[in-house]
Amino acid sequence: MRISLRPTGIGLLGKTALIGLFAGALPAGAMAESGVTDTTIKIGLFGPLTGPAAIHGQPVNNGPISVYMEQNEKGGVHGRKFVFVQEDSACEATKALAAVKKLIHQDKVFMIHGGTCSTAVSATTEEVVKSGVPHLLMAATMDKLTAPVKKNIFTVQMTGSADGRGMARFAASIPGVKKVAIVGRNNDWAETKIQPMRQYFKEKGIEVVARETLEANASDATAQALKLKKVDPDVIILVNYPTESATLLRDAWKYGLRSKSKDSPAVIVSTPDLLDLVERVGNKEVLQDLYGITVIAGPFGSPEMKKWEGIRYKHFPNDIKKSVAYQGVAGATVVIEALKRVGRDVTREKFLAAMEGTKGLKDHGAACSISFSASSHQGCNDPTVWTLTPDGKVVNLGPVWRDLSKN
Amino acid sequence: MTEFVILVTAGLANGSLYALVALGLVLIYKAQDMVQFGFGEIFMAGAFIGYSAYAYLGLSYPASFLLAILAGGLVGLLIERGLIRPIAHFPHMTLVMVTVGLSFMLKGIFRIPFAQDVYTIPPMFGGSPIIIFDLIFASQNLLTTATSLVLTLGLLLLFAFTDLGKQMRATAENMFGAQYSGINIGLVFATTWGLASVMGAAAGILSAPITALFPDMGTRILIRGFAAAVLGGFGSVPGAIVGGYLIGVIETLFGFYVATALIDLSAFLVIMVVLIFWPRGLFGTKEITRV
Repeated sequence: MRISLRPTGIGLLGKTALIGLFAGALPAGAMAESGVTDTTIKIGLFGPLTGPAAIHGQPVNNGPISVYMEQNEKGGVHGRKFVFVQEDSACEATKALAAVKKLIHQDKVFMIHGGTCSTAVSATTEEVVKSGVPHLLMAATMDKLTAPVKKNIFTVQMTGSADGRGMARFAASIPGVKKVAIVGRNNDWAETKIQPMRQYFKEKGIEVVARETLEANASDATAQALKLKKVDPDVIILVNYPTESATLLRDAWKYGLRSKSKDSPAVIVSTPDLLDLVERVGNKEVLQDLYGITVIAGPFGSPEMKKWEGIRYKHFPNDIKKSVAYQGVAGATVVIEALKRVGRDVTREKFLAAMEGTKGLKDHGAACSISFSASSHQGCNDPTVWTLTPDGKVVNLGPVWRDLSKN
Repeated sequence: MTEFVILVTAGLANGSLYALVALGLVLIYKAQDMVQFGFGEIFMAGAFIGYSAYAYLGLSYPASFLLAILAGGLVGLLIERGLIRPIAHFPHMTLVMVTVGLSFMLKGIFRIPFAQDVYTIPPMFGGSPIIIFDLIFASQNLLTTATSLVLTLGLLLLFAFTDLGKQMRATAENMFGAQYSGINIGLVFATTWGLASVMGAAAGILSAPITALFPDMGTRILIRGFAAAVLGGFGSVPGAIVGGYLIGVIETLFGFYVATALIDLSAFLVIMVVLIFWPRGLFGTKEITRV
């Protein structure tokens, strides 16, 4: 079975080209700032359009692009419409840096709204800071990208430490939890989440009985499953992408680490697309006590997401139908609102000031209220947790555990 | 003890895929004295051809498997005929660089339709594993191991009992001697590339239900296949098979008894240790050159 539906690239290219041609035909006029004309604002996007993390590439980019296109249909912002340039980072540091350099120096974008795969994005930070080009991160989560504060880099994605604390807080709220096992990749992205997680458990007196490595795209997790079975944890936290999380869930079931028993450990994963995960595993029984952390406002098809799904499928009718594709949506609303506050005379300096002036922004597709300040460019750090009902429906539990059967 | 057996069983299943890839590498190496660096992409192509047959044509898994290995074999034949044969007399390094280019080319081709997502085929056996006494055997692992054993055995029988197989062995031993004795060298080379690619494509489609499919998936398996071939003694067919199984088992045993962080490193460690201390590998023989 195919995991997702696709062709979005051609449609986007066509639309972008049309807008670009239209913009190019107009006189330059009063060009206030690089990437800004009388009628357009050029936004650069980059992400893993190819490679193993491609699910976090075009589908994620299409979220904010659809919101910008929707705004274009309303006349843009102060008469200017958004035009886009996209580059592929393939989730690799060298390619991410090349992509960012091209966007800044060759395409001369006004701002960058992009960056997925924290390790790759961290390689671009120096260049972005040096250039002064405003950069709103797409789905990269590593704390050091935005802390300490860099004048021109912002995020509305949950940071790694917030993600880690959120997972730990949820695990600790499950009744009777005393032993926790952590599984994750062996890199900065995972450690950014795992360190605050360990700290939280220490404060709560919960023992971390194992820290096992499960690397990217692992096709076997027998060793991990058997080691976890030996330490008999109450909760397993997976700091992995869906592909390898599915491998561990499959092998955990296979080797009796997880079962239908009530004593079977709960599993908390780093992805909200729980149904997709179950489909990858190929065994519906793994859905028991499975939890996914996210900042997205609601599960796919929920009332909270109706508006954003409507906008996306209006502009990209064949796009994938997964929650993961909505990670970057909130950022577009933040940018549009900031540009509205800037007014007609757009400069990067004014835009950055307007971004910092964002306070309590709601209705953007994320579960949080977004605020920035001069001392914090991390706008959304309140994750929520989803789970599956026995009949296979995804529901939003909130930040702490609650018994669904008592609702 | 129970854990050990489970780990070995799982390791053998992974190892059977490595063995198929190592076999493909060794077949080409024996025939033309070169490493096919694009072989990971033959694995990837097999996986995606099988996936397409399953997902888009609605074929069953066995039919998709058959289509994938046949198509893989055809790709191998075309590569030999179109890319390798015209430059077969060129320096060794040129041939190797062509296979590196082939790797990029195949990745590029498969990125056109498959770049934007990762794909998977549901496991053939998604439910409970087979439990005998305390030992747990995953059905999918058994299927993978059995299929690769059948393919390997078929190849060995072809070498031992068919004229074509004997011609292939003769060519590997002494190409010019074989040519002078009337063996059609072109046919032997084409068949070798075809059969090697059948092995790679088979490993690809066998891996489809247990891993994520994406156009860059070949690199990881190429390294493991290479490690298996080195461990077995590059150039030895039985060595490639044994080396593949051993690498698979070493990975899982390292993961459980040493550290799970070492699983991905173990193939590199094997390559380094074997090259330093045992350069001819398990089944490699010392080359004697008459001067």
